[in-house]
Amino acid sequence: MLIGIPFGILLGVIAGRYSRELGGIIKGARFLTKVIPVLVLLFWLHYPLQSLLGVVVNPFWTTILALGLINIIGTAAIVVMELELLPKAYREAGLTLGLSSNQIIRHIELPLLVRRTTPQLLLNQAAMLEYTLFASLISVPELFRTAQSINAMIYKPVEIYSLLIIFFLIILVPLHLVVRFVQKKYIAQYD
Amino acid sequence: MIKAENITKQYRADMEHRGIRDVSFAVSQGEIVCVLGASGSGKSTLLRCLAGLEILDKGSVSIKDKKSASYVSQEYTLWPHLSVLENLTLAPILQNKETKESAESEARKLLERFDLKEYESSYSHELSGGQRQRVALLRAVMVKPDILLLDEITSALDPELTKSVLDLIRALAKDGYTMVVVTNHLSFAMSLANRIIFLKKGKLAQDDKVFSFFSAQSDPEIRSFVLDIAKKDDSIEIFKGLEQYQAYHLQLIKRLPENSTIYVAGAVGDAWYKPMGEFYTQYESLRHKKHIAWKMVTYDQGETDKRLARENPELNQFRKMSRNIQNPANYNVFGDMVITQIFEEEPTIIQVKNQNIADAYLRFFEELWNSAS
Repeated sequence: MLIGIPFGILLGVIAGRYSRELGGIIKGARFLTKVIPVLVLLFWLHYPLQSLLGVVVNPFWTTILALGLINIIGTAAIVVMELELLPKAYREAGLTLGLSSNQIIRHIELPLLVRRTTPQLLLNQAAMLEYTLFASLISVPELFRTAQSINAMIYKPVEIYSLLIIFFLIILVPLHLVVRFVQKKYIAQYD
Repeated sequence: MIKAENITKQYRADMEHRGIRDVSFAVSQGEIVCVLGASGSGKSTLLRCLAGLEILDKGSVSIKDKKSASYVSQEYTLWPHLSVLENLTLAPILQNKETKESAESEARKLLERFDLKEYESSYSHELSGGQRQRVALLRAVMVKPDILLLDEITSALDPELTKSVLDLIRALAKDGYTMVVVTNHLSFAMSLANRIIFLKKGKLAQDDKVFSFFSAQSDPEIRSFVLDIAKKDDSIEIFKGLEQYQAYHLQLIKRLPENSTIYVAGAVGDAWYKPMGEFYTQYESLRHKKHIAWKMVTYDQGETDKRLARENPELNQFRKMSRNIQNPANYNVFGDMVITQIFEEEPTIIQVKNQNIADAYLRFFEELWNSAS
């Protein structure tokens, strides 16, 4: 999340405003991340690629790299799409009233973009959280693998996996509620 | 105030070249120019070029002070994340460096003047289309421009909402703004504009005073366009063909009150009498019975005109105007109505029922009358 959101937004703004080619690359990459399952990508980065390059990287960093990339691409794609959808007329209205490009970005486009992208970015982060579970399969001691290890030691699957569900509920339910709230609050404005 | 020289802006849309080519005209201070033309004739492109929103392929636009022109488009462009009051005050605060308090107080005055005060905290999606466009207009006024460029701002509105927006434009016109307005509301253009610019396939086909444009239209294509858009205007009715023409005049003389006057500005001499045919006698006897006067100014008097003036000078007051005066040709004014007549194979009457227009035409008639002998 720390990597994906700032870098994704930066990349998205550059692609959406200044480089059509970069926008095309991001859309292409987004398509690839949609059609290649995360688990396959993670495995490919962990085994075949490292064996091809003759290096060994800690699976934790492989996971960071894979999910970071997916997150950056996902975030950038959302920003590019929303920038494309942002009606040109808002900018033109500002220009004809004498506002500078910077004033328009700061007072009109950025606030609008934040409102429009927030729900999608939050949903993207929720998906990323779920993707981290796949990291257990390449031996990263994330939440699921830790639960598995504890269960192997004390064998209390009902309690442990129920706790895991509660943990995800505690994190994801408020996140989805925030998404619904933001969508409800701002969606009417763009009808 | 505005000078456009050979402006050209072309782009491809629907597999054909659109835009404008070599358009030149000037707008003086306080003048209101309406731009007419069929869909795709380049009206909006022209206005966008004047507003500086397009990079010209060729030519130049000079405006006395670039910042003095505000543009309002046909799309609803209120910024949706800001309230009405914030929409109105953002540019004055950022651009004109006004304090928030003074900008807000000015905005509230404007909202109050145009019956929008109760919406100052509302957001764009809470307003009707007409209210949005009125707020967009007031937002443009807030930066204190000298020129307003209005691009078909009523095109997406139903008639009731359209009226509220047009009334606001009329009020702003009285405040002395210079305006270039793209519109297809004929009665609005007739009552508001000083001049009409007509675009045809991206080229300037006519640039004329409003009276001449509507009354003395010689271009058959423009005439048919005017008739077409007139059909969509509630206050305009068209009577076409000999039968309707004769019936119209007979009905008119029947419904006009006794002792009223029909004011006629024309250039056509006796052309009116011919299509009336046998009904002329009936018309004339009714007119005399009801004591309805003709007050008429023309370049030349026809033989029938001369005879009538001799027989009954009180009911037939004719004057001749100098050929030097640009003649709007053939319009009649009575009460709150103006009619223009086209004497072709199929005589046609365009009737506009609008007090503002009737008043404007009557004032123009009086000027012609006073300058005639």
